Amino acid sequence: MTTPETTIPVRTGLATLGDRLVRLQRRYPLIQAAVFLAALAYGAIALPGFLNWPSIRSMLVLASLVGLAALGQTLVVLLGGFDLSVSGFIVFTALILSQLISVWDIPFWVGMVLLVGGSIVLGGLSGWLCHRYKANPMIVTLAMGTLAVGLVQLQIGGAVTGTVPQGLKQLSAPIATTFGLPVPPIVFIWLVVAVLMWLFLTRTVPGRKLYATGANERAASLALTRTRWVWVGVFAFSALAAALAGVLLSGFVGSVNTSFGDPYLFQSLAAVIVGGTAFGGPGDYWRTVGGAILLVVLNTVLAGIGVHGADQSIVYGVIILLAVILYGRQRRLRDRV
Amino acid sequence: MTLHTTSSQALAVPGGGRRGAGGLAAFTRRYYFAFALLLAILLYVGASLALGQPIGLDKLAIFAPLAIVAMANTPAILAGGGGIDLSISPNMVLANVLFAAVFLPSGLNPWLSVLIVILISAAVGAVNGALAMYLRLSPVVVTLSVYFILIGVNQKLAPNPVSLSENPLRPLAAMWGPFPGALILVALPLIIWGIIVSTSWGRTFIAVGGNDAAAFSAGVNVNLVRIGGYALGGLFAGIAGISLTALISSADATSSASYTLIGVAAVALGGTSLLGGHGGLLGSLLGALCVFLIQSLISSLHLPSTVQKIAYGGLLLLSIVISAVLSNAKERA
Repeated sequence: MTTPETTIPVRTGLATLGDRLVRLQRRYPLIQAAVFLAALAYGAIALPGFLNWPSIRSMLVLASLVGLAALGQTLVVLLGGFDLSVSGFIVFTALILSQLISVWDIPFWVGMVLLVGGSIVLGGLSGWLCHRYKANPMIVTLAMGTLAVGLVQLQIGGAVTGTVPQGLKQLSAPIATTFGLPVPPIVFIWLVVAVLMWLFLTRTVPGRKLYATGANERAASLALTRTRWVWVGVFAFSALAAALAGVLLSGFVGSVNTSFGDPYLFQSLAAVIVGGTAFGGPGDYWRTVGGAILLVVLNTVLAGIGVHGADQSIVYGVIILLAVILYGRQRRLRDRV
Repeated sequence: MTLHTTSSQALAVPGGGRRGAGGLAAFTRRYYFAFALLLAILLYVGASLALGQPIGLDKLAIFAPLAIVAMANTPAILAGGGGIDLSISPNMVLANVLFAAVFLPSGLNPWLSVLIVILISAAVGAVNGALAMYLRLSPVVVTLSVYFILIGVNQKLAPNPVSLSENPLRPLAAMWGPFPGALILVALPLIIWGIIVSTSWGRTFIAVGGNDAAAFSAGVNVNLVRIGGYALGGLFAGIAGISLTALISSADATSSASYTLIGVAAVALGGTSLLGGHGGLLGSLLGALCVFLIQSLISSLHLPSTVQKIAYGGLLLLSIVISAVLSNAKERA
């Protein structure tokens, strides 16, 4: 951080300020915070009731659903990959909980064991295939997500018309309370998960090895990190996180179908990217939390001022594009020669 | 056994090059589409047996959109550098919607509209490439954003599905005696590609995909070559949109995303390396054919459609492993 200043001795005041801002942006999500505050201020002025507790509460529930779906995605992006199986594992979970447990007539907890075990095995297999065969994570996870849904669908015979156990709906209902506090349980879960993830990434050896593998795999493996196990572990975790997010999501949505996870795939990716985590790092889960909240607030404001459907999709695309233009740029080719 | 052969190849030819004459690695490097071809033949025989009669050329019109989408996905991937165009499918539907819901109702000459629509799709591809190259952004992120934008644009252009009572493109999906009209559309990308690959620009294309830093050092304008790849993909997406319009005689914005993932899967199945520099359009065509024949096989065996998902997923994983083993891929790091 200090060396560039010694190599660039003379600078005008404005350029130094610009440099400093760029450097600060690299460490803290300044632009995201500015956009967030602007959207919040605009919403507070233009939309009556925008900053009421019920409105904030439902925005928090939506953000925690996106954020939890993006939990594994964050780690996969830190490794330099993508996980396109997020939607697949969300549906995988929903189908197991809403239908397989009644088709097979098994108790709820066996279903949970099944989905936890299944997602870890299939996700880990994705990671192993990507690493062992140098395969593109996008294709492997895409295939694995499709496979996971197909395997469950085969057991339940295709028809997808299920409802979710009642207890799950309580977890993510905006009017639900936690220990008497007027906050839905899912928001609490999200907060706890975020703190645990922060501790894992910054305070544990596996967390540091994850960053090392993402930054430079060759260097990491020379430093005796078993990078293949990092890949296997991260992809297994990502599948598990998506499956567990699916538990909460199916509770939120109520009834399930095979495509209800799709929006969360792209939203999870958007939350990670808008939050400012780069492929192969740097980044962390707090950025994704910020990205998820920012996206939900923007969505709410846009919906409030009458931007729906088609326009919303366009605005979504433009926002992601602007976000990466501002801070997601790669090295020049001539610097890599 | 194959594992042993490939690892000894790796020792003999460290560059993974062409000197291992007669070796399996050299063979699969030259005939990267061998696996897809073999699979396609097996599936064709299987599907024809299950159906009770050979699958004829009259099915080509149904196959054409998928085939052309798979080919459209190929140039950006081939040019390397993590290149990929996720917006091919919405771009194809953009061509479909522009033609059927905008240009045709406006009374413009249909064949002039076809030309304009294809050029617009090519321009969208070029914009993708320019954003990714000149702004140095990750191609996946750029094309994903453009994917969202195009889906929105398509919905705005055709909020409700538009049905064409009289489709001037109908001959392109019909039979002309023994020849299917769709043959023209499927052959067009192959011909354009064949011409390009035989030019010096086509050679630089493969060079850039193989090793961009080396190509750059040799004086190749890497950015321009790659943008050309995206533009070419967009052009093919436009042709795919025309074949879709000929087939369904309507414009439907809700189908914008339906060919995204299956199109990329067909490329991978066809043996094109997703790292770039190795593969081609013929493989993608065969990969798409495999996907299409799996659909035919499963529907003619009266299996539940869920089997299709397992078959796709399983085959895709299998093809990744097989192509990696055959092409002698070094392990990560």
